[in-house]
Amino acid sequence: MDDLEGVRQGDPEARERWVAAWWPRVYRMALAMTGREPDAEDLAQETMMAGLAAAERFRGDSSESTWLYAILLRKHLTRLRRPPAPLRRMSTPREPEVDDALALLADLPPAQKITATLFYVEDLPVKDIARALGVTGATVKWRLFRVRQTLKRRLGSDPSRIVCKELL
Amino acid sequence: MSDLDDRIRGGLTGLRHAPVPAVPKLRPARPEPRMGPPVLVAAAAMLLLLAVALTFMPPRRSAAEAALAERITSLEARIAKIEHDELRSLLGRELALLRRELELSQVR
Repeated sequence: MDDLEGVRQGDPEARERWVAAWWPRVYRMALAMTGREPDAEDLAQETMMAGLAAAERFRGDSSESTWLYAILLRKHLTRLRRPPAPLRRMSTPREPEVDDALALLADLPPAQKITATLFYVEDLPVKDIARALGVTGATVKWRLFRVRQTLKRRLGSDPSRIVCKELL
Repeated sequence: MSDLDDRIRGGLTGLRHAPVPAVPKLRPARPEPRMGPPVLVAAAAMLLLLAVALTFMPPRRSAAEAALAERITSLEARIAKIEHDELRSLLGRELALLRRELELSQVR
């Protein structure tokens, strides 16, 4: 029996194992989306809680990661619509490498940000990203093209040479 | 994989190694505590009161009627301020029509 099945059956140990297994990936994805550790922790917790509450309804039509990322995106967009919460102080200074990565993503719109993170950090294929985000594969490819355009400028290269290779 | 993709991937490497806070203790939502008989009796009494109040309350005007009545009131106020006879007469006709419309909607 896998942990999700255990969660469905109300097994508290399976629940803890399931949360522990997914927490790092969900947190890092939340960090990519929010750009701030305290917000990422809140978003990741909301996502995990929603995942636990919806475990009964998960039919396995997609992978667990795809399903959880879809929840995370919905939660993130809901949070963006709320009035902004006061900024909380970060408890520890951030690693420069993490800072660089977040700065690279900072100016992307949310849809491009999650697409880029799923593609470049989580290494998900276009098909799975499309399923997680509820869009077509062509939309994912178009977003990746826009991400490349923006990030190429940020990385200091000539934007005229970018091609949307998935569309070729 | 293009050179640009490699560079983007490289630029985002930091995210893969970002420190992760401790796994939170996520507890399942607790079921609501069961209400005792006094609470149920009070709730039933409130429902009964509400039903009685709704039964004996005079019927409210519909939204359309309320809007008509409001237009009539504002038109009356406007006419009272107008000195030009022809304009007063024209607006008076409009007022009469609105009053008739209100009467008809109350008959229906």
